[in-house]
Amino acid sequence: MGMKTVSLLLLASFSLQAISAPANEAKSFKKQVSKIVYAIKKSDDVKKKEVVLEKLVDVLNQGLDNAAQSSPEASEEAMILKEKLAHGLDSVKGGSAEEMDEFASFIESEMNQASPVIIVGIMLLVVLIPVWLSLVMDGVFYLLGAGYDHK
Amino acid sequence: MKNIISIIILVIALPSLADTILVIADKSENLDYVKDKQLYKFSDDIKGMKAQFEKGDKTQLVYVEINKVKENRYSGKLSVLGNGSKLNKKFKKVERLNEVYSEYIEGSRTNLILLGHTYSFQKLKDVLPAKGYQLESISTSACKMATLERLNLFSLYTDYVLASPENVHLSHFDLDHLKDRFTMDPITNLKGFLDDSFRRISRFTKSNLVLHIYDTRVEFSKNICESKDQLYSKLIDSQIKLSKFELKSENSSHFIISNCNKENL
Repeated sequence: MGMKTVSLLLLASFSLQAISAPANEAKSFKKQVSKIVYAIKKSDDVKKKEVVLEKLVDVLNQGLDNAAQSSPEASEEAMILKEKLAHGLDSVKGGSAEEMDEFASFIESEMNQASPVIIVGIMLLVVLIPVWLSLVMDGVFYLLGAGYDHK
Repeated sequence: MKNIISIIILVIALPSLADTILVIADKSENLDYVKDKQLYKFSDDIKGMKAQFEKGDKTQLVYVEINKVKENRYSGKLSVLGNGSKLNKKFKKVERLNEVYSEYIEGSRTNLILLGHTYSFQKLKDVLPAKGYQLESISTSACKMATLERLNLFSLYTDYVLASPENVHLSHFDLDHLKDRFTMDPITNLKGFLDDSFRRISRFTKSNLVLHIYDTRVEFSKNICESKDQLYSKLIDSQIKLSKFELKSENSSHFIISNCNKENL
């Protein structure tokens, strides 16, 4: 099975999750973020941690831009979150593995407590996360539980 | 004859003299959190809380769980446990809440805990007991509840409020030992609740964590944000943990009232 096919299957799978019952959306999203954060923390490669964090922040920013359009309150919260992510990423770039892990946990923490309107906005784009990560992190699909055999 | 009447009155009045812990949880939004791939379910916290109360206890728990909010229509479940009561019923109209409040809270020493993502001003007005009840304290385990508007609303009910001007890691205040939590004076009770909850949430969050006990005996004026002294005079106790990834300084007025618009007074 080629990389493209796998990515498309994953995309379809996560898209289906995204349109599932609204009550489960937030939980599903938090689980996905946590799995990625866990995978980042498990990695021994500092450079890889940084690249994945950059991708993660990039995707979340896209989702936040989307969420910002829903209401003035969501726009304000999205802007604050984007600032935090940008500031956090800047502060850990070129830093140690511990700093990267701490920032990854910070993202997990922020996503856990983001308001539902922000989560719904991000959910429309967060389906891309595994695809992004597939480019940079070996074995991440095992940790994501997607059952991808990358051999 | 007088003695018999007095005893009868006393027996009738006894249940309403009980201490009451009123917990209102807005579960219409997801309150679970996930850390290191492990799911921590809000419903487990609630199960643990309910398990503390038995029919024979003097302290009673009145638990309101909102499961659905559509415009200004609320539905969910009501439970009353302890002090000889065991009630489990669904409600479909918010008016039912006030019936329950008058049945179980009137004349009782009541501490209120609000759990949820956050409560809009309107939602608070809808779910809080009707005016006239004096509560021992209000604790809000929800994001950004320490706004001028909300604190002034709380001041109609109580003199002491535990709340955060920032995000709280969902609604995960420490509900262990809740039955014995409110046995002292309100300030001592809230200090214990503040410390235990801060300790618990700190284990999970890497975000800013700010919890204060506010003195709401005097109304919060609109210009309170212009004076650091006035702001600090409203705080009875505080716990603050700053995240290294957030920009605000500890002296920011936002760390006291969430809608104060002057930074670094």
